[in-house]
Amino acid sequence: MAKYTRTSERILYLFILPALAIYLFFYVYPMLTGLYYSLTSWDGMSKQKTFIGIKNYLDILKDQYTRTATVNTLIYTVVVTLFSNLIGLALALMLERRTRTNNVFRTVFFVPAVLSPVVAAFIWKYMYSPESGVINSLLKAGSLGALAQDWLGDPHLALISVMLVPLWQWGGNVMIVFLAGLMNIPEEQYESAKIDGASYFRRFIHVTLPGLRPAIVFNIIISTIGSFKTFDFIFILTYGSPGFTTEVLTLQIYKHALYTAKFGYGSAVAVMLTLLIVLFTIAELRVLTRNEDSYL
Amino acid sequence: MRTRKPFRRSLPIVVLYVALVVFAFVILLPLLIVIIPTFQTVQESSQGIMRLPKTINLDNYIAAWKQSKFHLALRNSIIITGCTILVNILIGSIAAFPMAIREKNRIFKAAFFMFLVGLMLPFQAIMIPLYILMGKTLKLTNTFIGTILVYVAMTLPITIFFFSQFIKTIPKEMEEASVMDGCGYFRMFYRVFFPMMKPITSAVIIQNMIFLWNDLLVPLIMINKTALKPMMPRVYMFFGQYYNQWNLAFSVLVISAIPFLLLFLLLQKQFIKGLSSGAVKG
Repeated sequence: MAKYTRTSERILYLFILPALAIYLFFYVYPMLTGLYYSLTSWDGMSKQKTFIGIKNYLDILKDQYTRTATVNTLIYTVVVTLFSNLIGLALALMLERRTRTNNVFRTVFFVPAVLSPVVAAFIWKYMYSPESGVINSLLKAGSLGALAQDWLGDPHLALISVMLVPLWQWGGNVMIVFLAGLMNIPEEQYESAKIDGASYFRRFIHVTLPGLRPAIVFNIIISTIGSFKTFDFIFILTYGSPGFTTEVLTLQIYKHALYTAKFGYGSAVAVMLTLLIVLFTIAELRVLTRNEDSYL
Repeated sequence: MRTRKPFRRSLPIVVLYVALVVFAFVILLPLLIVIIPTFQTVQESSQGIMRLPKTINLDNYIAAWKQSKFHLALRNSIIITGCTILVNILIGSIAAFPMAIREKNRIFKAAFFMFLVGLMLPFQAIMIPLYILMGKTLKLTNTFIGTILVYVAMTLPITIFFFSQFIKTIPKEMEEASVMDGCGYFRMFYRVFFPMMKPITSAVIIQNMIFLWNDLLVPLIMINKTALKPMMPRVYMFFGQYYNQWNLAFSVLVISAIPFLLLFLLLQKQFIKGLSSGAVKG
């Protein structure tokens, strides 16, 4: 190690400087100002920012809209994370073999993932619309008109309808990561399991799943964070309606910031959302990587 | 590519392909449904929006292109996406380098951790402080440079995460060998490490490009001059104005997605290879 003295170590600090400067100034600094705003009753416009301590945070506990938005965000995150991973895993297992047909299927499943959430949301708004919408038209054409619904307008259905859109869009993305994970499992492990006479199911449990662990960790973390941050879909599809049945925290922060002039309170909600994301991510990392060297 | 003797051949192959076709149908149907009305003439669309058009009629696309001033949105998106990615790769790759080869160093560790937090932070948490900073203090709203700076800051966490994960998989001997050759760290990075980072660089570019090209929120608060709006905010605005003219609205939706879809179909291998090399080597 003594040889390192010949080359200057200090230049390494210079390497991180440009990135760190931009990141600190345009990301960390606004984050800290937001943290400060969350302790004030600021309306976003006036010069005066009255310091009110943790009152906003106590108000969150009493505010039933924020509670609804929190519950919806949690439901959305758990459902979307769980199902996008199940769908992605199923697709990956079905398409593992590299054949020409499978490649076509892979491409097809991945296409929605390169679309903008804006485009996806407008497409599905049209699919779901009660009169001219595609789903209801198809149901009627198939003489299943009785099943036609106001997909986004019915309070019992709206959240479910909304959650199907990210599954449609991201399932293929999750699949790609799982496919890569499958490639990393050594062939020999399958061979020896076969020699031992293990069934498909047992090979899946004892060889595939453990081998896929890095891919599973990655997919679950990314879907969790992405779901907590979801905005475009709900902004375009329902804007939180009917009632507050599809309201999520990001949308609520947006509304507080732009329309209700409760910026201090909105900032407190934003801080809470950030804490939720950090907590979930750490908990997932703990559970998923407990017997291994830490993933990060 | 390695082909594995399929252990799932025990699965009934017919059931498998039926399931795949059904899945593919569910994925593709919404996309096809949106394309139909874009080729309809006015008469055809009055007879029903799902009626298959008799001829390929491009009038809707031409009208939509003109009325949405699509060329401006396209230009703006290319400038913003291109510049962001360039800056992002230049400063992100070199910043990841010390964080990866000096994992134990406390300063680099702290910096890396700070970038990681950025991965989890929802944009809403910085939205208004950023608006005040850019709008009132720096007067950079309605400029490309302001938008690009915000985007660079936003994409740095994922860039640095991917790059450093990748650099960690490069054997330590590479560094030791170049030190023996009397190579400084700057040259070591550009001569030895950066060329090895090609697959992850394309992964990072693709990941960031998907986000940048498709993003709505940042331009929503950074840019309110229509002429400067990139693609998605423009599409969002146009859709609002033409909501009851599906033919035009969907035409804009389709042309906004085409450049990127084409790129994906052309560079599919890089997309998939890129995404996987970053994701799985942990």
